[in-house]
Amino acid sequence: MDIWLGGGMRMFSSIDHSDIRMVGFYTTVRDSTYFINLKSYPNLYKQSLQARILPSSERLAAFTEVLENQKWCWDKNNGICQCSAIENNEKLKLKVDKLVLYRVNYSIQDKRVTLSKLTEYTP
Amino acid sequence: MSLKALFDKINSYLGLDNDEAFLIIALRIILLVPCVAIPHLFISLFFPGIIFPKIILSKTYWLFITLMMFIYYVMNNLDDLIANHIHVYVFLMILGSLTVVLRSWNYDWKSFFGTSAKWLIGMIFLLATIGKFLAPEFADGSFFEFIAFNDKRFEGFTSVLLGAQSEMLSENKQVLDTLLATKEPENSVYYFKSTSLISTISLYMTYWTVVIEGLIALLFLLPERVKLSKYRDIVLVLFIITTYPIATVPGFAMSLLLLAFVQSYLKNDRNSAYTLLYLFIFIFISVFAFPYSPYIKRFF
Repeated sequence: MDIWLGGGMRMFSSIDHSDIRMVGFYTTVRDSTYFINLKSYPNLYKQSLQARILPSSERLAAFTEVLENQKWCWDKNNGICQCSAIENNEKLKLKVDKLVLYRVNYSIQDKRVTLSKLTEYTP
Repeated sequence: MSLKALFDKINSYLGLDNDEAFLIIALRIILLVPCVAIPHLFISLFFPGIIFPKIILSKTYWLFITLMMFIYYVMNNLDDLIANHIHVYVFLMILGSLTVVLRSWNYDWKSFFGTSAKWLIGMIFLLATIGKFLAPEFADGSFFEFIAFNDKRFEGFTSVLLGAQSEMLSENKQVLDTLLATKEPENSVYYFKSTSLISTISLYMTYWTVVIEGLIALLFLLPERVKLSKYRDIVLVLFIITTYPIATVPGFAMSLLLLAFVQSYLKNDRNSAYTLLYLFIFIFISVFAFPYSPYIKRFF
């Protein structure tokens, strides 16, 4: 649960909250595994936000279904992308290997900013 | 003129000279606080209570508006998008409703209202202190250094500390945006820029926050017979004046000030400097949320 929303009630203790969580999925295309960061897909914003706020297994399962029903294409420059943005590309039927939610970590000692897995859903 | 006479004069001028007047002011504040954050539909429900003293003391009115808020915000919960402060407002409304109902039944509403406010403050700070120990990034100062660069409410404070290096704020934001857009989440490593002043202050803020929040929890949860408990108001005031000018969260500050005002009045009677001080800070707390940093930068 987001510490600032929905009764999470752990404000001013952790840097982790939904605005700086990242959700994406791993998929396999032609024997290679790709990670699709969902930050750049505005039409999936609502589901992405809800997964970032409260990543329950029911919510992630429903989101996985939505993702698999999207029209995905292969673009030679950008790799996997949504078909609506680019025409005449090879269409793909994607299967979500796992949907993953990441949180940001920060260390005052070396000023390092990284991501770590908060939870994942495997269909 | 003695202090007691002075407070009597001020209280009389403010209309805070009997328990009913105090209750009306406290209930009005409960209705005013959420108005900074809720939709206009609910504000329209609150205005009759704020304007008319008879309505604000009606238990039917309180039960109706509290039920509306409770169903909309707590039971419905609206996709978890409700900010925690709204949940706090609903808890305050439940407290207001119970107080009005007890008063209408001629029960000891003052004891209930004052004790509930005191316990709420104690429990809020106890849970806040425990929450800080549960977050691994809090103890070493990482939390405060991170939010100094990434929380809008700290922007003004950080800009002043950075002075001529204030471009660090936008550079660090850019770093975070780049990290969140990565296609290699497991292998992406970026670095923030900071200054030794920010790191040192972050560390001191960490120690200060844990000590003062823990102390408030302890003092408010201690029974009255323990002598130490008489320092609770001075510690709470110290927390408020050292926290809210930096972390500008007026919604929560107002809720806390309301509870502080109620417990102070009902504990010390109205002739307490703290009772008036809490009201005074309540009135001016929003001043801290004003974006001063552009004006400060213009002069320095």
